[in-house]
Order: sequence, then structure tokens, then C-alpha cells
Amino acid sequence: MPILVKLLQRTSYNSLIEKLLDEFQVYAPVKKGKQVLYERIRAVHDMETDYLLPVLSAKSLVFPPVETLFTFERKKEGVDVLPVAVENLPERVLLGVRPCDARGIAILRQTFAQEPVDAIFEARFNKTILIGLSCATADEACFCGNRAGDTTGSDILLTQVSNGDYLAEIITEKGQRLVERHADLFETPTELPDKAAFVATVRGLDNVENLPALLKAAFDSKVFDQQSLACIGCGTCTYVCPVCSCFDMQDETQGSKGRRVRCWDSCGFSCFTVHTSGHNPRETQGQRWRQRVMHKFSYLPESNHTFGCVGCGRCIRSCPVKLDISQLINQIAHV
Amino acid sequence: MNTLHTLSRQQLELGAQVIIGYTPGSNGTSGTSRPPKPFFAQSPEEVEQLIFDDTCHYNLAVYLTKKEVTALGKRVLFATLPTLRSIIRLAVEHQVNEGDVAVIVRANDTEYALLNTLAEMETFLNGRTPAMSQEDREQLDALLAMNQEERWAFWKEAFETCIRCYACRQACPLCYCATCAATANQPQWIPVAQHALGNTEWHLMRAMHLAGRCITCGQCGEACPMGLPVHLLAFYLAETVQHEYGAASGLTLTETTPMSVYKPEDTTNFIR
Repeated sequence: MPILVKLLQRTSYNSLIEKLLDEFQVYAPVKKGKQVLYERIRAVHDMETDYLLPVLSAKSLVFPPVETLFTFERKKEGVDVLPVAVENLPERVLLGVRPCDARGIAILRQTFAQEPVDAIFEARFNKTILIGLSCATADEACFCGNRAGDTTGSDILLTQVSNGDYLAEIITEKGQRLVERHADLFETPTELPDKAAFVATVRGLDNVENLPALLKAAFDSKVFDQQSLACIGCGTCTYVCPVCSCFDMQDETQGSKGRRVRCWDSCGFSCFTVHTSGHNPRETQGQRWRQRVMHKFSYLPESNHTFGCVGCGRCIRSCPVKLDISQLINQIAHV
Repeated sequence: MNTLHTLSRQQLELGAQVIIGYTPGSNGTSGTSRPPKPFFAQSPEEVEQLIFDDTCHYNLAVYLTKKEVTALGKRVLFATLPTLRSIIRLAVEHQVNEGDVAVIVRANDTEYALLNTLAEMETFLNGRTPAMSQEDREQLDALLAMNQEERWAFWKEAFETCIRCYACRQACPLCYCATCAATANQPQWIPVAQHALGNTEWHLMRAMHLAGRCITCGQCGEACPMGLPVHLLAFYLAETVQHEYGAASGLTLTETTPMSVYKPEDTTNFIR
């Protein structure tokens, strides 16, 4: 339930963004070539308004593709290790984040905030205010299951209503503080618009509540080998996914100095699980595809009480061989 | 009776284990159909789902070296011209042997034909070498018209955008190495992390590995989720090699690999 519900006129939204640009690093959907990506904006007009979903999810803003965890230097008396100064991370506002992406960040946080808490992720998260934007439309790849106006993960969720103004649902204290600082821009509605009328209707997966059990039962089934015959084993689906959080650790050195970086990795890669001995417990693409499906729809529901999929459909849109996870999961659900 | 389905069923009856073709894309919320996708038909019933028309252009030769697919046995592939060129090239590089694969091609708009041998595929290709698409031609010419600094700025931005998902590598029929130098870690040749340096080294290495081998299907660029025209690197090198050595890739079973063959009569003398 929102703490508060306000109205934000379209022109006031622009004024708000201008004010935020003075106070924060602001990230929003930006048109880059043929694609839309979440990028830093310096002016209101940098922000793209005609988009369904940026190619990469907002994950890349809280869990970037590559980030330094600490630096080190070898000296005569030993090795100096310098942790990243999380206190120097900038205060940020993310604008125009779709509800599926906001939900993705909430799920990611569950993963990274487990003991031992990931200090860098947590610091970045705490310094980030997320202003979501409900979806008025969906495309053929979307399968969030009518969550186009879901508030999970947003600090404030905006929904554009009939006259182009926004309904602003203030969800968290972080969001509330921001609204209080700019109280003059928000209006208290005399009558609440019917939000549901302004958000898209989106299909979901079939038989969702039984999926974890159905998948468990299908573990030894040939269905995963069959479904993954066309998979070419790239990392696209995992990299565009708002929830996939697997990473690799690399030490990059130059002379006596270096840094340890965390960078995205993918369970779709054939070398993802190769042991030092050369043994690979997931030798075939079928086993790797099963892992991706199980992790999202069986293991995470068990450990974190949430699906590891928000139904944004990015993996469907970006897959080079047009594999459709929603279709494949439904296939298993109907076995 | 649909010739495509008849041909495919016959092939299954004659001992092929799988027909690798296309099927219509899935429908979603909006009800519009997505583009056709690769489909593996292993039974007469599954053959019914196969299509092969103008909308089908994914280069299925990429599956010829995928171990989960080779394990199935004899394959029959729906082949477009780039697919055929890939097969010829794979044969030249000893990755495909006579008898491993047959193809079904579109002989014209309505008829399909089965090509059983590599020689038949080579003959079919004769005189049917498609030119680069106009969009690619224009973009490549625009790149070539830039000065070095501008070109570097273009690629620098592209490489910074790359997320290293390796879709370009995995979608390429000629990137079949069991262990790619990009992911080898003993020794580690190029940085694994998705930063500008690692990405640049990755794309330049890939382009050089494909020089004289790339059959210019453009699938790497099409696969890129970030929309980067990485195929143009390969296309440029293909043109350069053709210009320097007079050799295009994937046209004849007797062709060589200019960049890895030394001939005493080579005009360049750097190696002497």
C-alpha cells in the first residue's frame, strides 16, 4: 500500500526532473542509436519518452556489468588492499523505470542483502531513489501477468492518467522524503483516478502456483534437452535479464598494482561450471538450460519466496534464435 | 502435398535423425506473430510444423558443430545461400564430412530441392553469390570514408557498449572452437571483464580469426542484443582478403585459407 497518493502535472514532472538534476545523478531511458538504454541524463530533453523497455534492464544500474571490488598493491612489506570507498558512491535517482525492472531490483536486493551482505550493492541501493513508470502498453514478448502498474521496488510509482498528468504513488520513506522536499510540485487529488484503466493488460505464465513442483518433477525429463537444441549458448538472455545475478571474479594487474573486479557471467556459457580438473558438471546445453529454468522457477521460490523472473520478456526479444521462455515454461507446465 | 514436408519426411525415413528448419515464431500478448525461429523436427508429426519461405534466413549451419546436435546423427538442414557457403567452408576446414549433412534448398519461389553431397551444394552456389545488403554496403562505405580518428571513435563507442554476451561468437557458423581464446584462462589472452579494453581486444581478435574465412552472412551483427554492427569488421576483412588474394570464402571445396597458407609466389615478402 502506498504511503501517500498525489498528482503530478506533466509540466511539474519536468520541473521535478530539473530540480533532481541539480541534486542527484539522474539516470533515465535514453535513445542511443537504434536502442534505448538507461543512461545518465544531464537535461530533461535527454530522456526518451517513447519506449517500452530499454534493451538492458535497470539491473545494470545497481549491479553493473563490471565493477571494482578493491584495489591492491604489492610492496616489500606485503600487499596493501584498498576497499572501494562506498561512501563516495553518488546519490542517484532512476527515472522512468518500468515496474518489471523495479521488481527485478527488489529481487536482486534479496540476493545481495543475504548474509554476508554485499556492502557495495547495499550502499549503491541505499543511495538510489527509484521513480517507476507504469506501462500503458505491452508488446508480444511481455508476460508480467498484469503487473504493469505494480509498485514493488519503486520508491515512487508514476502512472500517466487521462489528461497526461501522473498519478504518483509514494511507496517508501525514501520516496516520501523526496516528495516532501518538492511538495510544491505535487497536488493532493480531490478524486482518485482509476489507475487500472491506464495500465496495460499483460498475459502471464500458465499454472504459476504449481510451477516449482512441476519443475522439480521434470528434473530428469528430456524436455530440457529438446527445448535447448536450438540454444546457441550465448549469454544474451542472462545479461538482459533484470534478475540474473551470476558473476565472475577477475584480478586485473599491471606491474605491482591491480584490482579485483566482479563482472557478469552466464550459466548459458559452456565454461561456466568447468572445474579446475576439467570436469564439467553441466556438460550439455540441456543441463545449462535446466539450471536457468530451475533457478528462476524452482530454487528461488524455495529460498527467497519469489520467482527469479519478472516477465519483462527481454530474453525473448533479444534471443538470437528467438527462444521464448514463456512458451517453453508453459510447455513444461502442461506436461 | 507440400513438397517441403514430403522431402523432410522422406529424409527421416531414409535415416536422417533430425531436420533442422524453421517454424513460425510464438505469439504473445499483442497476438502478433514473432519472426520464424530454428526448429528441430525429429518425427513425421514435427515435420508438419516446418516452414521455409522468404522470412526464414537464420543461418542454421551454426548447428552443424554444436555437439548436442551432432550427437543426434545425420542432419538435414534447410539452407539459404549463406548457409550453403558456411557448409562449404566448414567442409574445407574439416568440420563437416561428406555424408554428415544434406540440405533442402529453395530452388525457386515454389519448389524445394534436396542436395545430398557437398559437390551438389558447391554446384548450386555457382553463380548465386549474393551481394552485401544495401544497408550494410552504405554503412561500411560510410566507415571507410571516415578518417582514422573518426573511425576509431565509432568503434570505441561500440566496444564500450558491448556487454560480452558472445552472441556474435555463438551465432557464427565459423566460430566453432571448443575453447575460445576469449574465455581461456591458462593463459588468459584477453581480459574477461566487460570493459572497453577487454571488449576491444575481443572484437579485434574475432575479426582477425575470421579474416579470409567469414562468408559474410552477417549473423553476428544480427545476433547482437546491443545492435552493434560487429559484422562490418568481418565484412571489411573479407573484402580486403578477397582484394589481396582473390579469394572469397565458402564457394569451392578446393579453396584454401589465405591467411594461414604460405605460398612461395606470395607477393608480400614480410615472411622471408
